Amino acid sequence: MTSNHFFQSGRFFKLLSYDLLIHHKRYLSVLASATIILLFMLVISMTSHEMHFGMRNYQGSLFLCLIAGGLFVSSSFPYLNSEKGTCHYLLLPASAFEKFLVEFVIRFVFFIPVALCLYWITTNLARLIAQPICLMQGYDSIIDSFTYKPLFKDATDPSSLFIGLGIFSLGTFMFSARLFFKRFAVMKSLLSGVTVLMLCLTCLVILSHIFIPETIGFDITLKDIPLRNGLTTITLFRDIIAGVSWLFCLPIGYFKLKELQG
Amino acid sequence: MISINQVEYSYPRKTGLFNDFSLTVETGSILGLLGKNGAGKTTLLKLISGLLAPSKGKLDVNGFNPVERHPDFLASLFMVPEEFTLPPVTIDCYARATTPLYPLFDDTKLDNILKEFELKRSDHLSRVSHGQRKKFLIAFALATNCHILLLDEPTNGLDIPSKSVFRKVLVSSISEEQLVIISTHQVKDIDTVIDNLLVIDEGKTVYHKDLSVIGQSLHFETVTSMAGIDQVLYSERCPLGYRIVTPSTDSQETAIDMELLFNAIINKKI
Repeated sequence: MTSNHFFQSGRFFKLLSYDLLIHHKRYLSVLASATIILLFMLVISMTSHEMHFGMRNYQGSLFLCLIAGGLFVSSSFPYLNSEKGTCHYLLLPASAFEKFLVEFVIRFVFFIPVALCLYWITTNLARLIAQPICLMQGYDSIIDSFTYKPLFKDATDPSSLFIGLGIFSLGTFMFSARLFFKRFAVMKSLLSGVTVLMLCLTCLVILSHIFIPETIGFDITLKDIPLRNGLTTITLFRDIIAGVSWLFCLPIGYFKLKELQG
Repeated sequence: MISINQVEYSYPRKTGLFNDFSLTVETGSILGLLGKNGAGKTTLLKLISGLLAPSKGKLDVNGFNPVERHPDFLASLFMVPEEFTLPPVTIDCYARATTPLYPLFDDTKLDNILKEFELKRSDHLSRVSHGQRKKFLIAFALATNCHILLLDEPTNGLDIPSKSVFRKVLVSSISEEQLVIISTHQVKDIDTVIDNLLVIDEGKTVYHKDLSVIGQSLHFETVTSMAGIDQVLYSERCPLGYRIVTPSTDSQETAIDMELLFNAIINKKI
């Protein structure tokens, strides 16, 4: 009797433990090096603020962490970097869905909470290191401790939700785009993202030239029509793109993995 | 059992490699797959393992369609490619991570074969030679007890003593429920282990016979002169005179000179 072709929890957990056992050093070294770099940057930043290091001052490092997270996500499916690795990976006894899910779980379900916790710990550690340095330098600056409260306090606000979904959609794009490339997948995923963006802009320029003949060159006019509850056509378009892109990116990635040949 | 029926396959932007290719191989044998460079040996192994999809035709491997890559099919098949990659971990770590994925895996068998190959579980896969990595992969493949084992040039990179060990462990590890396909150029490395011979050329089966049948129907010998010898099917010069293949006059089996047989087949003399 054959087992479920698509998904079997036992097989999934075996594959997950396989990945964690084989790649644990890689994951730990990525997290450790990112933490050290972040700590170093934060201490320098905190000690160079003579007066007040507030929540706003954490935004730069948070943005850099988002970029680092994007790079980590696009380093998924590491075996697919070479033909030899691809053959090995495709012959592992698990379904394409289980293989896809394992990578998704590691890079989104495991990584995001761990990264958020590490960021919080690192900011507080940096604060503990920076405060005595500031005192030694002769100024008693105030360094606010970092908290996620301001980020999550408007979680029920649709715009906050769509920002979160937009970041997630971008992550799923990087995650799935990687499956289309063998060598230099991270770089090519980034480039493909830029290409998609450029294509969208070109499309907007063409549409603008068609519907608004007075458009000159790339100086396009976007007609923003107010709808209701402060929503406009542009924000609606932006929210739809941010909110539903992941629904396309993930299945495209799955089917690409399913169709891969060695 | 492997059943290949009228399969067609070609690489992108290349002429067809396999056209109307058919083959049936029964379980419980060790098949030697021979052919010149570019004959399609590795491609055939990739088609059987589901790494490549045929453009036409039907493949059946133990009741599975390889292209679907059913997890049960993948758990019943192990391929040792000619060129391979192993993660930078110890043998023990690799075994602990990978063995749960193969339900028939035998840890004791792995330990015994590792011992034969003079490898230790503590050996780091990134710090041993290519030959040692290959020996580990062969040991792991045999310990999986998979029903189908595909070995692509398994003796490439092995030293002479290791080739002997490979032959020994292969013969002692295989059961009647298993089918092993060994693709190689090194015909002398496998002539004592295979019981079936398949020669392909330009994507076509040019010879497929049981070794006992070959031994009974053909006679291989080295002679100083060919004078007075009738019905020489194929001959080659050698330092002692000639290596010849003739039809067997009695049904007694003779030792098969695999290299000579291969050359005779490729030169269309048999």
